[in-house]
Amino acid sequence: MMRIQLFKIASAMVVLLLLISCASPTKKSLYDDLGQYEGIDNIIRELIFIIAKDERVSPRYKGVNLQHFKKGLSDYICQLSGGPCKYENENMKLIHAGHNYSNTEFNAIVDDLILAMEKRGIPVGVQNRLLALLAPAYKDVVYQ
Amino acid sequence: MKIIKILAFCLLPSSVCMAVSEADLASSEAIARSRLLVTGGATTIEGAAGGGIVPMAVISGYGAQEEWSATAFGSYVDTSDYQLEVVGGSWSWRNRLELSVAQQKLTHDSLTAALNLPTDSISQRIVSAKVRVVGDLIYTAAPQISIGVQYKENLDFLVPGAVGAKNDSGTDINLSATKLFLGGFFNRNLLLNANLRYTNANQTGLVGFGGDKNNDKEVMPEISAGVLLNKHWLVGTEYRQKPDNLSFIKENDWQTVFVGWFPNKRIAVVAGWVDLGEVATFKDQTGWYLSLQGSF
Repeated sequence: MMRIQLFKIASAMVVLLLLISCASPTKKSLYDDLGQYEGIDNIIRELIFIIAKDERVSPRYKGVNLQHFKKGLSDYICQLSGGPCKYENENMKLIHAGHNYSNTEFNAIVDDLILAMEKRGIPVGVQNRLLALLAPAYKDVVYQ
Repeated sequence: MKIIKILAFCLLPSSVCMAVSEADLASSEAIARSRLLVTGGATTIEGAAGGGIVPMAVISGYGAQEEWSATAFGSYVDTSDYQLEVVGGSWSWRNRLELSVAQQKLTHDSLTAALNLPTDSISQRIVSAKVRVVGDLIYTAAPQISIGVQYKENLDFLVPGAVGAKNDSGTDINLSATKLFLGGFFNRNLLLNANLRYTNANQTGLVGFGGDKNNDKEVMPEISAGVLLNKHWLVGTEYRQKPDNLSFIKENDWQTVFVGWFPNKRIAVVAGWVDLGEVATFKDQTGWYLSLQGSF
C-alpha cells in the first residue's frame, strides 16, 4: 500500500513539472517587468553601492571603471531579459578568464544582486526569473 | 541611546535556547558566510542537513568553497504516544564536507505502561559524514549529488533487543541528489530532493538494527519537495520509505509537511506535521515537529 502511495506522489510530481513547463510561454517579457533599461540601470547602480561595502568582493573593483562596468552589466541583463540591447562582450568566458573568480565571490555577487533588487522593489517572481537566466554563467565565470 | 532587544527562542523540554538581537534578525549578512539563504537547509532528526526526516545533498551551514561553517540544532517531535528530543551540531568545510553528531532521546510512556517495561526512554547517538561529490544546488544544470555515511549507536538496547532487533549499532549509507530550480514553480524557486538510503535500521535505529523478519540492509527511497515563497519562507513535504524487519512490531513509512522560516543566515525555524504510521504497536502516530537551527 505504501508503494502505491509513493507512486502517487511521484506521479503528482511529474504532473507538476509538466504544468510548470506548460505555464512558461505566457510570461510577460522579463525586460518590461524589470522596468526596461532604466529599471535595470537602477538595479545595477544599487548593486555597485552594495558591492562597495561588501569586503568579500570590493577589492576586485579597485581600479575598475565603474561606469563601464555598469553599462556592460546593464546591457548584458537587458539583452538576456529580451530587451533591445546588444551586449558587446558576448563571451562571458573570455571576459572573466584569468581572474580566477571564486565560488565565494560569485555567491557574494548573487547575494548582493538579490539585495539590490529588493531595494529597488523588484517582486520575488521577477527576481527569480532573472536569477534563472544569470545562473548558467557560473561555469564561465568561476575558477577560470 | 540605542536599545538592543534580545529575542530568545526556546525549545522545551530539550532546553535548547537561542538568543538573537533584533539587529541580527534584520540583517541578511548576520554571519560572514556566502552561500544564499536556505541553501544550507535545516537539520534532520539524524543530524545531517536536509529537511526534517529526509537528508539532502546540501552541505550544512552557509560556507562557500573558500569558507567553513558550523551549525547547532535542537528538534522535538510529539505524537500522541511518543516524544523525540534531538540535539546536535555540524561542522562543514568548503561546501564539500559535512561532519555531524546527533543525540536522540525517544520517550515512550504509553509503551512502558502497556507492557510494564522497566524503562521509559531509548537514546541513540549518530555520527555522520557527508561529501558533496559533484554539482551545485543552484549553479549547475545537473543536481548537487552527495554521499553520506551515518554510524548509529543505540544506547538503550534492552527494549529493542526484546522485540527482536539483532544489533545495537548500524551504519546507513545515503546517496542524495538535490536541485533548486530558480523560478521553477510559478516563478517561485522549487526545491526537489531524492535520497537513497542503504539501511537495516528499525525506526531510524531507535529500535535497533535488523530483525527476525529481515536482517539484511535494503535500499529505501526518500523524497522531498519544497517551494520558496520568498527567500525567507520554505513550504515543503517529505516521504521516507522504511524497512519492516520485526515480526512483533510493524513499521510504516513516514511523511511530513513543514514550513521553514529563515530570517537570516544565523537562524532557521522549522515547524511541521508528521505522520509516522504505526510505531511499536501504537497505530496512527501523527503529531507535530519543531526544529531550531543556529548557523555560525
